[in-house]
Amino acid sequence: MLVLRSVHVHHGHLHVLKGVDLHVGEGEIVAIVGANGAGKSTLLGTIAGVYAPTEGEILFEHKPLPYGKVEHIVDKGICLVPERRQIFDSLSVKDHLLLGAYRRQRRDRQEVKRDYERVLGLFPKLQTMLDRPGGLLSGGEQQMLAIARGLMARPKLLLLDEPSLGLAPLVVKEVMGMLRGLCDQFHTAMILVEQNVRAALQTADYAYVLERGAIVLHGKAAELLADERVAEAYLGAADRR
Amino acid sequence: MEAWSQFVQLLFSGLTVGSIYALVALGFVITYSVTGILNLAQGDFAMLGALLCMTFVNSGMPFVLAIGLSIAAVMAVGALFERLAIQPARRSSVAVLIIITIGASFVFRGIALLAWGTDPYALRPFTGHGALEVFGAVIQWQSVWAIVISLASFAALHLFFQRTYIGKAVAACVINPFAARLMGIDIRKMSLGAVAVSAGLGALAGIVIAPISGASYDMGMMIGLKAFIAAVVGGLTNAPAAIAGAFLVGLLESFAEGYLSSGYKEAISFGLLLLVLLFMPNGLFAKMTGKRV
Repeated sequence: MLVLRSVHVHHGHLHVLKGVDLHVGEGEIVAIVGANGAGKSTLLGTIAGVYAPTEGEILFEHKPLPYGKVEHIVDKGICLVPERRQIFDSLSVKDHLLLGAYRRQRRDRQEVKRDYERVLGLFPKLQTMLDRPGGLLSGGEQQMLAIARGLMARPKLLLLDEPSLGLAPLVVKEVMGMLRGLCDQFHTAMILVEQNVRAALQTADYAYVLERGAIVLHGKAAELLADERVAEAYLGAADRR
Repeated sequence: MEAWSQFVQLLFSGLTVGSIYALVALGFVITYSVTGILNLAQGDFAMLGALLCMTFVNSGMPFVLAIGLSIAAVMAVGALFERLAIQPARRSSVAVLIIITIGASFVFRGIALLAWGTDPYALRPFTGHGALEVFGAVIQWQSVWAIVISLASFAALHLFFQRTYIGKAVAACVINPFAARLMGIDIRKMSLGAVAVSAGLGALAGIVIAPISGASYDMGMMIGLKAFIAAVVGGLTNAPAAIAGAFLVGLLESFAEGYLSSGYKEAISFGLLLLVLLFMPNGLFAKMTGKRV
């Protein structure tokens, strides 16, 4: 459903993405892994319309995506759950979820209400803190809230930027463990950008390894997890012992 | 007894002026919170509102209709100003944007000068010329109107931001514009709405004060500056603090005028501005706030 063909992106004089090809199929979870500064977030930002590609094309459901208009990308069925979660500190959990459906609120109130119940069913923790301000949630709860808020837009493709950032290992496991289930329930595909390579590869169907702005390796996530080069570069010494 | 009645008199005059400053200051805060722009033409919306209302009333229009129509007209002027002057320059530096608003202020004043001339006009009070006597102090009904109308406006705005969906979407834009855009909230529309509403609040302030202190082409300058002091005292993004700041400025001015000399009035409010900017640049009511990352 999403196809990137030799996409280049520049930030000023910096050549951040150097010809990225990428493919995401219906209902698939695709991981993009790589070190800090490899261009992962830029790649997601470009798909979400935050940055304009200087070369190449991005097709979503066979149509080019608009860029520079972040607020219109939601209507196309793509929703970015940004890095560091970007929670609204003083708004309640309930308000976050309702605002997540901002574009649909007027059109189908009934549907939004149903989705609201369904999302809370997926995140029972949030159910218990509907009136709490977002700023008072723990890191893991905020991440769940950010994902839940993204789901409320009913995207066909959900983009997650570093959902494990700053979370305790057990919480990472909890969050990652939910992703497959919510993709199935909401019939959405997902691109997962992660520095936590192991967690990402364990969750995804397919994965791309990004290094200095270019894809250096791609394949089934399970295969990459077993790949020596990946183990050497990203899974750390603990693995080889 | 005489001292007491003088005190009450000054208190009420301070509250009256304070409520006018508060309405305009609220405009500063709303515009600044949503758009990040300090709109120094804010006071001129009060002038436009007062003069338009006066013209409508003199043309024989029913009072309530004239008030509504002039507020709507000033809101349209505010929206036009946002689209023509602010939006095209969105990416400019803060200094450029402030200068644009100062320029707009001159334009508004120039247009008013051409349309209404330099003479001050009077608008008739909302409900007759009668007065109320409290503890020997004489309080005009218009003062009561000013205080009641401003309090009602604050309550309405508070409900809007706390209870309505759109209000929360605006709040989201203020807290985190990027995340708000990701959810499909159009910040440009919010910016348009914020400036229009601020203009409407300004117009309301001008209409309410016109029966007390008259309306003239250059009245916006002083009202705007005093409301600006109030907004700065309140920290520019905190609406309740800006309202408190406005009443503080109003009361200080009134008591300085009554007990010291009317010459000290302006000196005291601008002195307050300097003190706040020098020692508490985040406003008098700023408190330490923690933010989780």
